[in-house]
Amino acid sequence: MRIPLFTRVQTLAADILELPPAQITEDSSPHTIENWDSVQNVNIVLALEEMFGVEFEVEEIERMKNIGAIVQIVKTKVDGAG
Amino acid sequence: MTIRIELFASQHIPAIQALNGRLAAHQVHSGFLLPESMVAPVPDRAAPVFKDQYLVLDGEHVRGGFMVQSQKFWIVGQERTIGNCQMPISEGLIDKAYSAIGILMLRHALRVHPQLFALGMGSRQNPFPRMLAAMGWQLTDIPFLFRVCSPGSFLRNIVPLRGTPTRRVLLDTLAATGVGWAGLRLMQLRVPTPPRLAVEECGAFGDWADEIWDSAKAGLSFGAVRSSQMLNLLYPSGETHFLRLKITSGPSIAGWAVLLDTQMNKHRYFGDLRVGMIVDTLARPGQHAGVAAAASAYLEGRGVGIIVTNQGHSDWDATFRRCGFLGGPSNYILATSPKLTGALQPWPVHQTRLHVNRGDGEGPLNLF
Repeated sequence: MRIPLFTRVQTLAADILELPPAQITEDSSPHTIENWDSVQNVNIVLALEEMFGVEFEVEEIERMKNIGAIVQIVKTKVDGAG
Repeated sequence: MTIRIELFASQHIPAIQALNGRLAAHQVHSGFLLPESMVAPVPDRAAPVFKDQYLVLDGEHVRGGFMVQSQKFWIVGQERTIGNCQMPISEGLIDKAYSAIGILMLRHALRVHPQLFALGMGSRQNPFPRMLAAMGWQLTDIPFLFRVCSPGSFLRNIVPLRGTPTRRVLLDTLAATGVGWAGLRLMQLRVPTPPRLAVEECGAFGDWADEIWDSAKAGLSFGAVRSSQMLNLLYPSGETHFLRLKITSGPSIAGWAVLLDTQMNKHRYFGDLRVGMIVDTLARPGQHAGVAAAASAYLEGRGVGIIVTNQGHSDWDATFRRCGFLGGPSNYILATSPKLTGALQPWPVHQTRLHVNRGDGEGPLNLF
């Protein structure tokens, strides 16, 4: 069974931010999650790149304001690569 | 608004000042503010060392900045130009909306120089080294060494040891009674003193420095090229706070050292101590002990209360310890990018041959 993209990103972010996956929603962002700082931001970007085999451009990283945006960017990137 | 990274231009100065104002309003230390002017002249890209100053722009706003110093290094038998990322400042320090700025700056710097390093950084717990570690950089502590020349003055001034009233009374008592002097002398007992070499202050580095570099570089796996041309750029004769020593053994040049002698004033570590620093040094093979002892004796003769140095190369570390220096906790960290670390494989062999000291990176910023 194919795991939905949101669930994969949610699980990855929950793992890095050390939170239960249920606490990660589309609106989750550095503003709503206390330990989502610049270092965790690096960890999330690098883990996404490794998981999906892509490398994000500057403007893509800059647009990753919350989980919903991240899912959209990853989707566009992965679809474009496919 | 799209983030973009551009070279410093004077038209952005008001926006830099605005960023610094926002950072200062959040009690960010003045050492972590962006320079409000060009810190280096327009780069001469033919020079062996030059600096590019970048700004992170968000429309007309400045959200961060950093510098990349391009410099010739000696890396495992080859001369290469690599980069040193300096003074990365991000609005992400105070506003999580900009937490991505750090990775954007680093990625940009890595595009300019895949073989990149950072130096200093204070503590592995600070955001920047943590970010570097997350990106797979190798972090190495550059040993900190010190020798107390004036125990009484040291015990009365050294801030980290005087954290509580009880400690202050105890240290003042040790200083007044001479017990502290005896204890420090005992800890700093030296092995037989190496032959005393002749020392001469010089205004600039001449051909003799090239000879030292040519004879010493084979013993290094990693180190900035220290030719006379480079040394005269790093320690220009106009910068009179640097003491440049030419150290000779009979008719031949044994090595050189660059020193600082600074009277501190309410310094956060050294209080009001007079601090001598061995900023940089190099010696012919077999002359390390004589050069280290000569540089140390020169500073002691000038009346400093303590001599400090950071030495990455195991030969220099061991040499200074044999000259009576003690090791202390280091806040001077070398971080090498994955590509640069890759050029230094096998790492266990090369990590002991990193000729890195306070002359590297941004230089001895807070000590003159």
